Amino acid sequence: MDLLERYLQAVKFFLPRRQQDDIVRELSENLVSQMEDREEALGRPLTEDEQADILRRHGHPMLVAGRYRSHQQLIGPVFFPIYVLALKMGVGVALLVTAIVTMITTIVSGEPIRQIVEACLALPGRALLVFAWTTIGFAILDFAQARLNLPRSWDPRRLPKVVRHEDRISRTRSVCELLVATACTMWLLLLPWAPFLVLGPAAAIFEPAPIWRLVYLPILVLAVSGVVLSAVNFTRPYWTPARSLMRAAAHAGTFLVSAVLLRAGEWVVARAGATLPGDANMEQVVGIINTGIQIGLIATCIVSLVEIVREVRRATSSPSSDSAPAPHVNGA
Amino acid sequence: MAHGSPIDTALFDNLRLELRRGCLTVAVLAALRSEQYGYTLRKLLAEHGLVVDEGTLYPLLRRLETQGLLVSEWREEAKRNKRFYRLSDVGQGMLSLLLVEWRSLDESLDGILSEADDGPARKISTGS
Repeated sequence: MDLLERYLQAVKFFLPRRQQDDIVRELSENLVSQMEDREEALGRPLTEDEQADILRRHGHPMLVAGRYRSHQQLIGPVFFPIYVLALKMGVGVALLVTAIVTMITTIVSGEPIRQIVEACLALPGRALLVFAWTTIGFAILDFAQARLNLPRSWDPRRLPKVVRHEDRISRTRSVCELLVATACTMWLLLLPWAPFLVLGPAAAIFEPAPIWRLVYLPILVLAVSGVVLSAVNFTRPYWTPARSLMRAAAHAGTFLVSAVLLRAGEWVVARAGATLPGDANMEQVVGIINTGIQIGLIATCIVSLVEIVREVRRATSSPSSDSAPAPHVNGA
Repeated sequence: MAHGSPIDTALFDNLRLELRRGCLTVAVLAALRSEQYGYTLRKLLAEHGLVVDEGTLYPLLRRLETQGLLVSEWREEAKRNKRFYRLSDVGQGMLSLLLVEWRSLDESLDGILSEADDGPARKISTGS
């Protein structure tokens, strides 16, 4: 009966500690009875193969022991779909943060290959942390769900309003907007200490005109508002009148800043004492640069006006608001 | 539904297992109106056509005992210690209620099947 003892030892290893001896004793008795019945039918002792066959049909020790435990899943069917979604979002955020940090460090250090390699090596560790904390959080939630009485305590009147297809915001678009807005904000924050970020090598010859100091803070505020709006759009992927109006306000702000800049008439000036290589005319080059910036500012004003009109139209036509009445079921 | 289409054996096995699982508790409680230990209970159920996996039966017995529906004691029989189970008083009452429920389900299913044979199902099958 050495095989039986080894089997029972293996089952015992996986059993709840307090019940180990009692369960093993009972299992032992039932298996011995089964083997004795078989021996009686055959008229001889069982071979090791025949004993192994009985134990194999009884079940793997881990599975047999598992059935004696009451709570047998870490995250049950109620929370599992949300857990998978949270994992995807969490890993997505980890990827986004890594990309942004890599961009910033690349700009500051000027070593793109090294930064990208380091980022790729750091990403699995970050993703693993996200996985661990998300799993722990949902395991606790699942364990507590029976006590929270979750299935019975919900109110249908608190469910989100129905969202029209045209009011939906693509999450992919929100992620891209968030990425760009965050990168722009970081770039703006670095500007006072690194003017070469604006003009590159030409920063040795040219410098931004004084008007930029006046509009720097408003531009920064607009950039931060872009980050916030993109983040809100990501978490709530549908347009509401309030959000459309906020976006219209941001475009209005962009229009105002562009208009103020346009009135200045000059956006890049030559540094004192700087000269251009060869026969290039400094005045002419500064003029060409300023003309390019002027065209860009005019285009920005036009686009901002168009976006303001679009957002105001969306705000006035969208029914997806807290004040909108719920649709009547019978079409009355 | 076309009656000539082949039945998915794996699907049938799964559904049959679910059906049997639902009956197992009632069968075990009913069988334990007379005292049994694990192995003899399994043999008794098998003799009546209800073959149960040991991995399912023994934890079920423990669970029913924890729920107060069974009582058990270790006793020596044929020079070996065995754990004998039988129905508790609470278990008796529970079994009676479950048997009423069982008969009610049986009647409901009979009603649904006879209605399906007589009327709407025939209209649906001729209408398709």
